[in-house]
Amino acid sequence: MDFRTLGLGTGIVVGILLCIVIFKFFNKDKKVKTKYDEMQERQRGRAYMFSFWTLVGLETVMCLLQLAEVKFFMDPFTSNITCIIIAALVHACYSVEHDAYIGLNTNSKRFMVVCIAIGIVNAVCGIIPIAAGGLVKDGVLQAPFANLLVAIVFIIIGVQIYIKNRTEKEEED
Amino acid sequence: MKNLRMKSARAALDLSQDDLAKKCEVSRQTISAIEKGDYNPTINLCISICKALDKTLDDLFWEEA
Repeated sequence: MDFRTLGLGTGIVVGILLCIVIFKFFNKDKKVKTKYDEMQERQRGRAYMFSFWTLVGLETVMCLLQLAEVKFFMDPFTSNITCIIIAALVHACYSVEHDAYIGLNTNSKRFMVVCIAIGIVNAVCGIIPIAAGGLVKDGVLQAPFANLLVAIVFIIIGVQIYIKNRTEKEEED
Repeated sequence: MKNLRMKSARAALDLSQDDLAKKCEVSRQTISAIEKGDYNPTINLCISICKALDKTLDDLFWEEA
């Protein structure tokens, strides 16, 4: 096993453990599984559908570009991860808009804190390579762009949840 | 179609949407959507709401003649 594979494996394990800790932090009952009611389940199903077709559409475009041998402005890893991030954003935005993103056992304030924290960590991970000049190589965007994109996604989700909570408080009852 | 009967039954018991949501183990937004007529609940949720508001299914969910 080479050093790169070991690093990748360690990263995945640490990522999974971190997810468990984060879920336990923002769920009121300290459980990893988030609970949703029937309306939320239904809306989340629609969100997954839109997210799935977004991913299919974007990956189809990527495949066609590769077939046509068009020089793309992202390396293959970055372009694929970008497609996944955009699809996840579609799911999140649709769910938030239809009140299905925050679960029954989720503390929404803690969730927003987590969103901001993840946004900042990813922004830092993206900004450091920019400062070192590692974002663009031979006119092609490299992997740190994905960190910037994740930061933007979490900021969008956090802001959307905040706006949604504000408008709901105004129209409550 | 707005469910005004459910809203008035809830108000009669001096319950907020959040209180009713907690009793029925759903989100406040789901109760709000049912009252606004934006969401048709399953029969299980209808029964749960009726029990929480001490009403029958006819009282809250059957179409008025």
